[in-house]
Amino acid sequence: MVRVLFVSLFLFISCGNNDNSGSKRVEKTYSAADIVNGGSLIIGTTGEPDGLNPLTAHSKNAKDAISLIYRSLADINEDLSTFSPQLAKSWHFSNDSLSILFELRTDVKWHDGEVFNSDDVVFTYNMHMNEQLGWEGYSYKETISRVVAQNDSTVTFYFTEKTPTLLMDAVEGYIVPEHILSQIPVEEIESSNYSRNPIGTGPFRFSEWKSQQSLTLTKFADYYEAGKPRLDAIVIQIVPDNINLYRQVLSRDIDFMENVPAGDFNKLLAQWDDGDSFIKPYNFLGRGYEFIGWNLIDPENYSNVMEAAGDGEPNLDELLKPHKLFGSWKVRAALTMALDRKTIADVVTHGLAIPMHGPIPPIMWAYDPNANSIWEYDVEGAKEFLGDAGWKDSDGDGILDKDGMKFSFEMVTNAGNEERKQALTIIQQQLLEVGIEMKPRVLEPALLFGRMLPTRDFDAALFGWSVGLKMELTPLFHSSSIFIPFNFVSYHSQEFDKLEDAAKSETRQTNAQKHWNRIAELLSWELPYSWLYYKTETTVIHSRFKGVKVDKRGAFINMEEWWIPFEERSDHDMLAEN
Amino acid sequence: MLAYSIRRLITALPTLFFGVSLTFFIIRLAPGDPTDRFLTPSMSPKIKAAITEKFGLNEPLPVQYMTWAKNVIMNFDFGKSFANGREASQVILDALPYTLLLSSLSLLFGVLLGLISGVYSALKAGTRTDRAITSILLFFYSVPSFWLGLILLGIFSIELNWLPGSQISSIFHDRLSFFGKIGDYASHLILPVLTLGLTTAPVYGRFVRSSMVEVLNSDFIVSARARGLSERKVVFNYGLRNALLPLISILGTSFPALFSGAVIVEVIYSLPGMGRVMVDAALGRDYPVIMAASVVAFIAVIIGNLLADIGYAVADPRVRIGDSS
Repeated sequence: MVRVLFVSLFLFISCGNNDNSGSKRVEKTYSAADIVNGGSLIIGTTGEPDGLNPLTAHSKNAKDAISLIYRSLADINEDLSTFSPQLAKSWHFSNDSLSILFELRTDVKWHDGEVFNSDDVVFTYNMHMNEQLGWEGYSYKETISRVVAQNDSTVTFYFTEKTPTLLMDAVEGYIVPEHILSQIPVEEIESSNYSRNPIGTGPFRFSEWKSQQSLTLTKFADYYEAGKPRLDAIVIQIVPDNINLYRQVLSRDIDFMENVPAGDFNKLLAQWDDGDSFIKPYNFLGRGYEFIGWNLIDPENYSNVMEAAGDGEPNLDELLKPHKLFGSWKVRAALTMALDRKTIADVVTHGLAIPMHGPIPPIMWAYDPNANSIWEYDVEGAKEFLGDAGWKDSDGDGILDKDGMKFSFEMVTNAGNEERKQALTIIQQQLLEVGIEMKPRVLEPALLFGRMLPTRDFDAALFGWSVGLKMELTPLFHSSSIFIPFNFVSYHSQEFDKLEDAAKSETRQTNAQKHWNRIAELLSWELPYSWLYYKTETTVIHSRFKGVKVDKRGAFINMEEWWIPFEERSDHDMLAEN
Repeated sequence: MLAYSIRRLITALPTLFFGVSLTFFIIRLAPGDPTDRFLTPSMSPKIKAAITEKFGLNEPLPVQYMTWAKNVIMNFDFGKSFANGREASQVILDALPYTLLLSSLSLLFGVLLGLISGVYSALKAGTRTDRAITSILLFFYSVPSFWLGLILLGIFSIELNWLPGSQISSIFHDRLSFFGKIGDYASHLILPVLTLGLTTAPVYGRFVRSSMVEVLNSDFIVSARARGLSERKVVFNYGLRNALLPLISILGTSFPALFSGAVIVEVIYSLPGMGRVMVDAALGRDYPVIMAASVVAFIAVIIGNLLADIGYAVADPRVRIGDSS
């Protein structure tokens, strides 16, 4: 069954990547000589960016726009482990692997005409480390001890320890202009005019911002890659309502949209294959997965421990009492077997997801599908495990009990997510099959994330994470994270701690792989979560755009290379010719 | 009159102060923390602590309140949005014109519709036409504006695709001629104004009808008719003028309701006004923007009431406010 899903997913991905075997559509192929410049792209988005300063912006909308305006030293490749040069031409590791020397390009200009140089790189690092600014990639830079400019075009990053992610840590973050931001006091940077009037080195320059309406970016003629960008302008149109946004895609008002509702997306896929649609759907492994987190500890005992742990290294195994239901591994295993995860994914995402069994996201280099322990859907097995753990239906009401306590609990999720609400209902039904009463509860996000999860005052939570590109599980499962909200299930295991520390101290991925495999095996066996499914992205782009590259890094990775043949131009494309 | 207005404004200050202070504490009672917005697993706890300090959230609540009140009163400074660092007052000022435009157009449309239907109903009082108009008005009075908005959006924008269903202008707006621009705004505003106008018109309609019926049966109308004045003159010059009095007083008080209605309609039609700003701020626990927006809302209520009183005095010579004798 798993293979079937994988195969069907592969087909979806394929048809998004020009390989239309079995499709009625015949797509014209173009050579480099056909490429013409001009035209514009209209991106639809549901929220207004919270500023265009890479140091202070947080929202995805902002980051997408920022990725068009700014450049970093190097860009991550599709394998999510190697890098391609951008502002840095090349880099060299020192013999002790504790520093990296970057050779910078010397032909790069800022959008205001100033020349980019090593001062900008050093300044950017200093800003990243400035806690007052609260740059969200701070944790990437914690192993960097200093950044030194040798001359205008060479910079060296020095590290305190060897890790497999030295290069990733060094190049994370867009380079910001020293000649502008050094003139503004740090505490005023976020609120300064710069956030809505940014200067970068990227292919598109900022041109206009109409509050709550639209942003316009235009071609930067002095961009360092000759001939690019191809498009004259990119307009980011803000349409807060997803359905309305989708309608504007259908009516050709908007060229690009992410997160198309799954039902509509499947329709578009079929129409595209039949050759009667101008909307090209792209379906690819995204950045999000869904899981049930089981509270492993007794909530009442947790707050006492938090106080007791104030000083020194607490012995968590001694201090934390296991949860009355989910403290038992047998119970968690039974609950996982009781869930028909394929059905949940099929109903909730219309099939636009793949099953997930362990902690390592399938897009990561460290992912090995064979490393996970797989708990197949098995109602009888689940009942057996529950019996072994002492749960029996002694009063014949259909609900299991033990020592006078019913197997009944609340599963919480955040309001505003229809998929999760729907999933809760299916899970409730499936658990009832094995004699477990689950009460779904949908809560306002602030209450859930702000109060219940941090104080561990819950039984089980249906929730999802979005995945970063760095291989990292510390915030979720390491015992050092026991008092932060991310490890809300309060997982603590010395074995896991040792394995992750070992994996992170290997400088070669091939050596780290065996540790990550052990971690996958351990967590998928111990089940602090029951992983449900990994979602695929549903992005649509008007078919007149050529040279489009979309993969697990997203759809914003090569917009400077998108172009439009003359014969397919629309009214939109005359926008910039005013 | 001027003295009266000033006195009214001064006595309104405690109301403003009390309401705004209450809002300040109530929003902080709601669970959740403005720094949750920055919640990503890669965020260092150090940074969260730094952000909390930057927002001043580590101070005790009374201290936060005093700081906020001082800045507002002394410098008219509402603080900076937690979400994007912009001045909260600037965020509001960007959005306010759109809300005022929508509210006033809807008021105009609602009053016009209310007047026409009310007068017509009154002239046909007791007939089938009257009952039909009453039923229709009752229907629009009963439906919530968000429901009507969604239905109109679904029919005219999503199904028929006749009118745009979001934003205040199209992408090509800047390239249009002057009249083209006005037309562009108009096409974007038809549905929101219709929604808000239709749900407020029934109140005006019913008021106009009942006072019109009363006035048309009074002695001076009978004598006017007896003197042989044309029916047109009787109805409009004598009847309507007197029947409008109660309408003036409810206009002022309906202004706050119109404002809050506009907020909902804006969210449905994705207009860049106060509604969107307030909803985003409330969900993101963006305290400075919530506070700035509620100050604006409180002021709208106070001014609305004041205008109603003044308007009434201007229209009815028998009412003389400010004369204590």
